[in-house]
Amino acid sequence: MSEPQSFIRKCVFSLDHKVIGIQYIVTGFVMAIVGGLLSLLIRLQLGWPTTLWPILETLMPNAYQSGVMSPEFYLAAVTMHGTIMAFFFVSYVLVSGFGNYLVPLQVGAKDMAFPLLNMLSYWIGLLSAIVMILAFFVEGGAAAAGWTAYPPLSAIATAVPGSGLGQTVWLLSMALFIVSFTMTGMNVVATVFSMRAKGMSMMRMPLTVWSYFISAVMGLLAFPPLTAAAIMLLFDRHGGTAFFLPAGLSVGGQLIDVGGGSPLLWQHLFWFLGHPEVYVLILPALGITFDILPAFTRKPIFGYRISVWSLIIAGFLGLIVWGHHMFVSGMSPFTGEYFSLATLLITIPMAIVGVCMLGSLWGAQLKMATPGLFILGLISLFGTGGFGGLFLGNATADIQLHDTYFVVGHFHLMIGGVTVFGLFAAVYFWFPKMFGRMMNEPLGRVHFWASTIGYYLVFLTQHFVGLRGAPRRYYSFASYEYLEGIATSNMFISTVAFILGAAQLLFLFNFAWSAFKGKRAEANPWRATTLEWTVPSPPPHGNFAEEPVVHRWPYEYSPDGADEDFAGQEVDGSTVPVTA
Amino acid sequence: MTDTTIDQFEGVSRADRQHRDYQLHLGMGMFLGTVTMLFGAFSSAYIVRGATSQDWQAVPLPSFLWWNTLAIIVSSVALEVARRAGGQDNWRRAGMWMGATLVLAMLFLGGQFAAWQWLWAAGIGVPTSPHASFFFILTGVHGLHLVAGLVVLSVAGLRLLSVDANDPASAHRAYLPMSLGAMLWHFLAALWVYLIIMLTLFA
Ligand code: HEM
Ligand SMILES: [Cu+2]
Repeated sequence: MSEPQSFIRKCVFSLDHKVIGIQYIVTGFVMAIVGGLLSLLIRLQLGWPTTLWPILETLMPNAYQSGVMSPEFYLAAVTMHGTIMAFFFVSYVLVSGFGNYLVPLQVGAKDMAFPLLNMLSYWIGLLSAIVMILAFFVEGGAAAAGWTAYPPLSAIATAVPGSGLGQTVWLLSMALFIVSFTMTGMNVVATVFSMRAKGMSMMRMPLTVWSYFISAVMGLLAFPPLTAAAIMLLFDRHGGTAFFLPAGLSVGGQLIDVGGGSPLLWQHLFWFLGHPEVYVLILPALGITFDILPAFTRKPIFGYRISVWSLIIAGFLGLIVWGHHMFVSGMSPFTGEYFSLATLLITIPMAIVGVCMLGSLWGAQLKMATPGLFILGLISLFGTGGFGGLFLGNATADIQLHDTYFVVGHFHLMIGGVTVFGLFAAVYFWFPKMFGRMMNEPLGRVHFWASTIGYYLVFLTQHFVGLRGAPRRYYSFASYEYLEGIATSNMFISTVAFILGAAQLLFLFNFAWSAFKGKRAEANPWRATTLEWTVPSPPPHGNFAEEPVVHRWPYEYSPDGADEDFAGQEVDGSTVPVTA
Repeated sequence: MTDTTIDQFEGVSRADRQHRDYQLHLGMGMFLGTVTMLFGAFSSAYIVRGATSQDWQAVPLPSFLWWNTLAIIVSSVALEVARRAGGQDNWRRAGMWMGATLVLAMLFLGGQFAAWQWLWAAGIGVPTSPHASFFFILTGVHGLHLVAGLVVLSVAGLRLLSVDANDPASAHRAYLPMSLGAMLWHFLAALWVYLIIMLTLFA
């Protein structure tokens, strides 16, 4: 492969998976800033619901008339925060970003299977992010029907201001997102199937690659149904159909007579995507854990094969449990029982993965650096969040807990905790490979401790607020007598949330500063075994000067008879015996 | 990538080229997987929407839809004949059958549009009844995929015109879109048979 010379071809319209990966990562972090600012506005409102904010009124006159946030803007903020964080931050940084960067390098390929499709995927993805942001500036403001876009709120243009043009823009942006994400998924699957280096059998692939592979397959299966649902919703909005609009619906006291559709149908179609989507996001974080951990424990991971199978089984089961988001939708108790059972079944492979992580830590002498710390935090959050999932997965308990802050706490520990910690760990770990420089270690540690303590204080407290019966998506709790007791908790959560937000600035600063001024990194600073560490940092165009040959599994740490305490996958059996 | 000596053309070895072709077919296979899920979702929506409400009304559909069905099935067969002829280096035969495929494909698309017009003339539009909504949307989405298929097949057809029997590169350039297009087209033909059965027998 010849290397393109001009700046445009090299850094902007690049076909190189590494450049595309970094483009996705940077785009994702920019979106995270937007999503994060929204969450701070939300917390400002919930923590101090009666305070006036003249500054915000000057900045956003429509959203803050006479200094208080309007309820309509609150709904839009919650909707956009959820959408941006799940689809444009975690999906872009962790899945499309690191997926692009790592998969070809780790399987020993010179690029993705379809580089042109890959570039297209990024530019469509960027467009979809821009369109999503533009929704704030259209008439009526951004969509306000939640990241789940439940009809009728999302179907009737006059329901709330955000149900107008904002919702249409939301749907268009999601359509572009799905196209882009599908392209990346196809590339990952094709790369794993057809671009593995010699000797890289499926059962020698790093768990990172396995997890991206399973996640991509799930995405390919789960996103098309959302496309179908979005098409039908667009027709309900603009074509006069009634797929999701029930009979006898009235908005603002006015009967809207379009006829006997089923809002539940949307919920089924949405959650058929929605549940797998959370797995699409969390699986890579789990896979990455198994590859970062041994670099700090200096011993092989525990249970490679059983982890592979557990991830596959969890992925499969993840496709058939969507109904646990709908226990209170009036589904038949038998259906509810099925979804409960299937959901609790998933906790088995998930628990096995967790046990394998703990087993990998067992008896290790930890020499920690920031990536390893974030992995430990991830494992802890995975346990705590999964514990909350157990309560929710049980239909009987969920009837009480559904749509309370208990759910908000649960999914933030999972999707906001595990995946985001995984993504931070990945940045700290692979940054030297990407930019040839180390990130600053003391700053990283402060970032880690502030994040861990902050996450637990914010989201564990939310569990308890939820147990007291505080419903989610409420703009203010000030007028409910039974919730007077949570006002202090809310103030506490909001205060910590601001500190947590501020701590993320350390990370952004560290990232930007280290990219130019960080300490120079060697090719393999963590003394790790996978193939990307055999090439210079940053890797050249085409990655490998010679096609690599793989001789062993990726977890050969502290092997017998080696000079060093690890043997990379490319080391052949004549120097260090092959164990797997 | 061992076999680097034989059959050098397009600047790549035969092994590399076969690998590339395999990847493209894999990609097409995955794409068809997503289309399957797309229509699977539409189908379950069709069943649920029909079962849970009182406003479902089957609308009449023109009987010439069955002629359309025949056209797409025959086009699919013709394409297969063309593809096999191409595989045996019989490029004239391939070109003829490819021509037949394209004509039948256009007939089908035209026929589908005629069905829409027939419904409009009868005063039936997208919002008339859920059954009508599904008919228009399913034929529309299916039709969009057909247009993509038609583009691929037209590329194949144009390249078939200029195949030089002594130039393996030109033959391969024509065969590849034909083979990829065949995967797509057979799939879409089968999908249509499924759709028309659902839309008529389970109306
Ligand atoms: C032990 C495994 C898990 C179980 C048993 C579980 C169970 C549940 C249940 C039953 C709900 C619905 C609660 C309700 O709305 O009443 C829920 C919500 C949610 N879960 Fe989990 N979960 C698990 C793991 C995860 C993971 C790994 C993630 C993400 C990475 C995740 C993300 C979410 C999200 C985003 C929601 C809320 C969606 C919404 O309503 O907006 N969960 N979980
Ligand atoms: Cu779920």
